[in-house]
Parts: sequence; structure tokens; C-alpha cells
Amino acid sequence: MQSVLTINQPGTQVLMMGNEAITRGALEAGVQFCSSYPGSPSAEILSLMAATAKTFGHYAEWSTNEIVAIEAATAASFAGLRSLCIMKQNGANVAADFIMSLGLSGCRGGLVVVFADDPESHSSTNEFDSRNLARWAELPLLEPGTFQEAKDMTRWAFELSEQTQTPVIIRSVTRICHGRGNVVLGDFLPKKQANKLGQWDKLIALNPLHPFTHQKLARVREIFETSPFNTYTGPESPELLIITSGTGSFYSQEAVSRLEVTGRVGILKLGTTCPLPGKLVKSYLEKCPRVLVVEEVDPFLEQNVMVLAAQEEMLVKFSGKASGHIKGPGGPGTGELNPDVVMDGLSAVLGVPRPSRQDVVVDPEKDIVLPPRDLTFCAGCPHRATFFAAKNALEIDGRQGVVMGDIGCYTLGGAKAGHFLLSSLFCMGGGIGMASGMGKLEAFGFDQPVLAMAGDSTFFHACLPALVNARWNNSKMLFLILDNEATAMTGFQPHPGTGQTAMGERGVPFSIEGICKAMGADVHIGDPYDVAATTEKIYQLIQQPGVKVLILRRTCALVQSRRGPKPRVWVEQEKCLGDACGCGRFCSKVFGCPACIWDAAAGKARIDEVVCNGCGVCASLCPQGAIQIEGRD
Amino acid sequence: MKGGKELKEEVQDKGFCTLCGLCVGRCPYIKSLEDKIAVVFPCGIEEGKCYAACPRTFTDWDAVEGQFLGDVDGRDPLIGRYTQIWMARGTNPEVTRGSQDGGTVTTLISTAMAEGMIEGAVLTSASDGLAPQAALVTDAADIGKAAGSKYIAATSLQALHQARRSGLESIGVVGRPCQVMGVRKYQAVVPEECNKDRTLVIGLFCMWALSYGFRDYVRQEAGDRQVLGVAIPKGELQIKTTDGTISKSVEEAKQFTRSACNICWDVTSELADISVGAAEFAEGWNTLIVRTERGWGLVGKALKSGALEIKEYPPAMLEELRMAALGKKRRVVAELTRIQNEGTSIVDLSSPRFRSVVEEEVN
Repeated sequence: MQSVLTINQPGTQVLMMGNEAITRGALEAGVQFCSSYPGSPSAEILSLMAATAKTFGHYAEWSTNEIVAIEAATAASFAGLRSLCIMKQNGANVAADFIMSLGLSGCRGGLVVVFADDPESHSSTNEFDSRNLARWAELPLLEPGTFQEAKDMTRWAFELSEQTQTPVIIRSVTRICHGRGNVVLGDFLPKKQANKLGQWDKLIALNPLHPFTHQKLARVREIFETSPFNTYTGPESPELLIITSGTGSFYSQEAVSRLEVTGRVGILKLGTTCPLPGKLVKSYLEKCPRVLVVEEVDPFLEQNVMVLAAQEEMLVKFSGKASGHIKGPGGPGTGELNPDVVMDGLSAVLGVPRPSRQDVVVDPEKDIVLPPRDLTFCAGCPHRATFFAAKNALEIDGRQGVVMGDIGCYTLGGAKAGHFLLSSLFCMGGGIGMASGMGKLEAFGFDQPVLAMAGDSTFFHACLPALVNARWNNSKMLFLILDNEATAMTGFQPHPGTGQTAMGERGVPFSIEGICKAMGADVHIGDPYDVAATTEKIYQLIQQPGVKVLILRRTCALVQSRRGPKPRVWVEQEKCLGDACGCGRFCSKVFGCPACIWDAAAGKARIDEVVCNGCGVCASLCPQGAIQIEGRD
Repeated sequence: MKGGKELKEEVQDKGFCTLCGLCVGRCPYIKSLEDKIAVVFPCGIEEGKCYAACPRTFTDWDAVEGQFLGDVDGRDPLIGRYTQIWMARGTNPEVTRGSQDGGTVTTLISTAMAEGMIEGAVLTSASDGLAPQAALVTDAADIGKAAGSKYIAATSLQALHQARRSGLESIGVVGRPCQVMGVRKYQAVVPEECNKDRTLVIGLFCMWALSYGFRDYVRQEAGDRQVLGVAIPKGELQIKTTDGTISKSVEEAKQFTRSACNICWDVTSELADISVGAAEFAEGWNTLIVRTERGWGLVGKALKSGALEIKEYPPAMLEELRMAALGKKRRVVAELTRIQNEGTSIVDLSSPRFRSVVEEEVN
């Protein structure tokens, strides 16, 4: 079936999600090798690449983690193939050690790396601005501001990469990745064969090559000076010049229009932001020495333009993040932009009144007001049961055990759904690394049990070195591996433990327990749905010395619910104690599954059968045995 | 007007919890493993049955005794109200196998079940002879698995709730004195959940119970040898292993006495229907105290069937038992007085019941 990715009708206009547009751009460029580790907001790109692999004849893989992904993609480039590597901003940090060397080594076949940032951290722990990494690594940086650009820049990035023999970074953000817009399609370029590598074909990152990196960047800068991705709209001699990139361009256009200052303000939209096309920018600064810089998240462009102005001895009045004009509720340099944020800054700089924010006035009599919602686990999520069991075990133990958290669905266990159990949260694999250290503090009077939690995909991604470390140094800790047999948080992508590859082939399923045992850990396996047994097992294991591993294995409830009919769970209300002593709405109030709801009219518990995924854990917790389950093996 | 929050603050956090297990299992907010009970989540209920029925919240002994043993003549200030005291032992070795002394408790529970007096029994089992667990037994064949003394405290009463939820109409309970009080307070607070006319309470003699630290001690002493069981006859701690018996002083065990036992007033389960303990002066025999009519009904059946035999209790030995109880009661009243001075009152020390033992009015 044809899709927006496969239609071969150049000039056709289609509606595309930003991630689709990036994928299409790479397909048009004839990409041959794609690698990624799933992360929001960019997870769809590799999935789409995998889905189209057979049609176009390219290769796509979910790699174990981002640094392996970039290493693999670079290898393909070394062999002369066009390769694409995709990662979110956290992943860019994981891959940084290798990426920092790519400026030195350069590449052969076009190598394009997509950094997908998440301003305001909708589905991340932070909102790092990965553009800084591109500058630090001395790699060319492109920033799409429209969906058309998302496609066109990706396509062109391969050309630029081959032309300059340097990898190219494309920086997208959540609103580009997940927004949709019109895109005019192009044609598909032919693919090349891999080159044979001769004895003297080397791809080496060593410092003597540093001057060549700078020569390449100078060439890139010259190309950027005339790039069609840099555009200006507005009067010939504006009163104020907005310099913007990425999502800032749409917001700036809207703000200028709504403040009715189109005749006074010009917008210089830069798509090639690093190295900065200095001559181009200087030419606009000469026309208008009063500048407002609009960009997400850091004052990256702002500082680069300031340096340019200083270097050129130009007297420019800058407004933006440093001046405090462009700021979200959290202050300059935090959070997402939107038209209101830009209007605030623009009206202050120009001294024009801005229209009201048109705040929505809610009439509680007429309007349906959405209640605030906690971060929580899905109905039937095995993690909810795991956190519940861990909470019970730690409370019974009574020594205030600490749980080092990690990145995945279970991160939500740091909130009420997990009884606020997580004491630390950093990055993929950060939990077990911290636990490894904390488990060595007994000599200093630290006598609390130490636990770490990580998911199955995270285990393969980043936990192995820390587990070796813990075992090597004989740390005292319990590592809970929450194995739901999927990379659930980002959309159920496979991982080494599932034995599936991105392209649907059956690979080698890796045994988590086998790996842990090989490391010499004392390994146990449990079913999180069996809350009583899990509680007891956790309790027992934290009484013991050494490195303990407890794998809590249950398929993600959402994956399971797609496999077939789900068990039916319901409340025999005549048995339910409701608010009375001995219950006190335990299922809905404490266990807190979204399917455990309160029937206010009856004063009894009820199961929302639409939401319920049939795990039946609530049935095992109900003190009255009032919750019934039907149809489970 | 107190609930789980106060149960935690006033009983558990102060080390007064006896591990009777009554609060566990009735309520999903309270959980237990090994020798620990925790109020895991705040229930927010202001008037909790857990607090009201706990044997270590304030207890009006006179009122509880009046309610359950009010019609029993023959009050003894040291071993409670009773009608008869005997030496006793079971006669069927098939039944009493595994028992500590005369197998009287095992025999009585077996008889009660065989005679249809009870449908099930709340007992304490220990598969490894050390770490005890609550056990709800509904099959007479399983009673023997719970035979024998467990020196480590077990939260056996949680099985009482299991019994109720299983739909058992009549139930026997075997427990320590604190557990007997727990059952009585529970019957007083929530009679609809534990009807006194359908519950048979067999109380054990108890001077102290041990923490799980004792299990670890025993295992350490046994080393590579597998522990078969533990016995504490006449001041000697015997650790029975696959490779012989290790003999230690009882003081080795007593260092693991739970702090809650230091404020336990009751030595002989004074509120039970029947109380049973060792008869240390006669190997293979128990001391049997019959307190209520219900208790006598069971003993009568056991005698009639020949499952139990009894003989006269030597008066001198009764006096020895009473003096042992007096010694413990005096130590406990001193401790109760101390904690009362610190602001915690769990009994009315001005009652003659408590005053008399201190003022040596008893004889």
C-alpha cells in the first residue's frame, strides 16, 4: 500500500508528521543504513525506516544504545553508504564520546545524525539543547522550522555531508517531530554500492587532524552563506530584526502578525545555524542594529550572533534570553516557546500594547473541566504491582530502604503511582551505578537497604558495566529488573531480550538472567502480579549481602491486551466494604489502578471494564475477596 | 477515636507489638513478614478496629475478664479464673507425635475437630522447626504439622481472618496469652466477625517469646548441620541437628526475648477457655487448666473418647506455678509503672488486680 513515504510522484503535496518528513527526506536521498535507540520525540523515524526497508532496500536497526547506533552508522558511511542515525537529546549525550570524534575523522558516505530535543521535557527528564553538542563537536548544524524543511534539509544534509566529508547534525524538537504540516514531495535518488576498503582506507579520529576539521567548517560556512534555508521576510529597513531558528520562526510570524507590526519588523529565519553564516547575518545587522533573538531552548543563536557583532565591531542592541525578553514561566532559557511568549517579548521591545492572552474563562456550570491528573501507570501495568510490592517489603523491613531510579515507564513510580519510592533519577543506567556506590557505604554508618530499578531495555542499554562494577567491588544491593518484554515507554520497540530485530527478523533472544548469572550475581525471577511472593522475595533479598538480582517478568499490559481477549474483572459490590474499616477504598485509593474506580452512588468499588486490562492484581489485594476475575489462565 | 496511625505510633514504634497478628490480614493497609508488622499505608480511618482490638492498646482487664469469664467461679489472682487444673497428656501416639510434652493441645484440637465443635483451627506451624507461620488447618490430618513449641513469636491470628473469609462458622484458636487477649478484644469489638459462642480458645503458658534473631543464632550455631528443631527443657537450650544435639544455656535464647514480652502481664492465658503448658516436674505431661464451660465440654469429650488422660495436679507444683507467675507479674507491673510514668498507660494499674501482686496481698 502506498503511503506518504512511498509515493513516487514528485511535486505532490501531502500532510506529514515531522518525523515522517525526516524519514521521507532520507528515503529521497537514497539512505542505505539507519540506526537508532528508541526515544521520544524521535522514536517513529527508525520504525518508519524499518517498515519501508523491504520496499526501498535499505537496512534499519534498533541498536542497543545510541553510541552503538552512531558507531554502526559511521561504519556504513566509512564503506561509502549514506547512513542516518537518530537519537533524542539524552541519547546524544550517550553517543557524545563517539560524536565528539566525528569532527576529526569526518566521514565518507553521507552521514546524517538527527538530534530530537524535547523542550519543556514532555517525555524526558530534561530539556538539554543538543545544538551545543554540535558546536562542541564541530559539526555542521541544520535546524528545520517547517515540515517541508524537515524533509528537504534531511535530503540535502546527505549531499552536504558527502560534499564536505563531514557528518551533519539535524536538530529537531518535539513540535516539529510530532506536529503535522504540508510537504511537497521530491523524487528518490538512486542508491550506491558499498566501497571496498583498501589497506590505506582509514577513518581515524586523532588530534593532528584538527586543523582539517576547521578547514571543513570554513567550507561549510561558505555554503551556508547562500543556503536557501536562510530566509528573510519583512520591510527593507526594519525597525527591529527578529533572528530566529526552528520553531521560533512560526511563533515569530504569528506574533508579528497579531501585534500588527509587519511593517516595522523583519524576520531573519536561519536554517543553517552552526557554523553561523556570518556574512549573511552581518548584512542584516547593518540594515537593522536592533535585534530580538527567538529560539528554543538555550541562547545558542543569540550568543553566536553577539560574538559576530563584537567581532565585526558593530553596535547592536540585543534582546532575547539574556535581556529577559524571551522567557517562559520558568524564566529565560527554560521551557518551550509559543506565540504568547514571543508576543510578550516583542511588545516589550517595541513598546506596543499586546492583546490579552485570551485566557479561557471556565464556567464550571456549563463547561466540563478536566481534573488534574497524576503521572501514573497504565491499567494492568506490572510496574504498579512491582512498586506496590517493593513499598510493602521496605515498610515491613523498616530500615528505610532506598531505591535508585532509572529511565523508563517505571520512572513514573517516583510519583504517587509508585508511592514516591524512587530516591534518585538521572539517566539510563544511572540507578544501578548509584546503587553500586551506595551499597559500599556500610563502613561509614549507612545501614539502609540499597535497591536499584531498571527496565529490560534499559538493562541492555546501560546497566551492564555498572552491574559488573557492583559485583566486582562486592557492593551490597538488590537490582530489580522490571522486565515487561518491550521498550514500552517509547512504543513497544523490540530489544535484545525480545529476540526480534527492527526489521522483524528473529534474532538471538538474550537471556537477562543468563547475563546476570555470568556476572556472578545471585539471580532470582518473580512474577510481579504475584504481589505477596514478590513482597516476600524483595524482603528476603535485602536481608542478604552481595549483589542480588530479582527479575520481575510480566509482559507490558498494553502489549498483552493486543494479543487477544483480556480477562474480565468486576466487583461483587455486596462484598465490598467501601469506606468502612478494613478497606477504606483500598483498591482505588492506595493501589490506584486507573481501572479501580469508585462508584459514588453505591458507595462501593467498581472496575472500569473499558480501561481494565485484566491483570487481576486488585483481586488479590482486596481484603474481602470482592473483586472477581474471569477468563485468566 | 484512634486507628492505624495511632496503632503504629503507640504500639509498633514503641516496641509493644506482640506479633499476635490480629491486625494483619483483616486490613490491607497492614502487612507482616517474619517478625515484623508494618502499617504500610495510612488508612485515614479515625476509629480503627485494629487499634480497638490490639492487645497492647489500653485494655480494661477487669471488663474483658468479666465479659468472657464472668460466670467462672474460683478466681486466682496469679493464674486467673479457672474451675479445674490437671496433669494431662494425649494417649494416641499417632496424634501426639511431634508434640513438645504431653501433646494435650494437639489432642484437644483434634478432638474438637473430630467432634464437630470446630470446622478449622488457627495454629502456628514451622516447617523448619524455627521460623513459625500462621496456619489455618481445616483437615484433621494437618493438625500434627503444627505440633510442638515455637519459641519465636508468630503472627498466627492473621489466620483468623482467613478462616472467616473462608466461610468457617466455628473455629479453634491456639495462641500465646497476648493472642488470647487479642481474640477476646476482637470478639468484644467486632462480635459479628468472631462470635464467642463459635470460637474455642486454647491458650498456652508463655513467659516470653523470641525474635527472629534467635533463628539466625540457631542457624549460626548449627553451622553446616541441618537444624531439625529446638527445645528448651528446664533451663537448657537444645538445638537438634542432623548431627546430634547442641546444648546451650537457656540464657543464650533469652537474649532474643522480644521487648513486648516485658510488659506482658499474663503467664497462663488467663482469658482462654482452656490453658495448657508444660508440666516440667513430670516428663511427657502437660499442665491443663480448664476455665470455661465450653472448655470443659471439650476436655470431657476428649476424656470420654480416651484421647486424653488426666491425673491430679500436685498441690506443691501448683504453688510453684503460681509463684513463677507472681515473679513475672511483679516484674511486669514494675515495667508497666515505668512506662506509665513516661506517659503510656496500657492497663489500669490502680485496679486491685495489679496492685495486689505488688503489695504482696496475694497468697
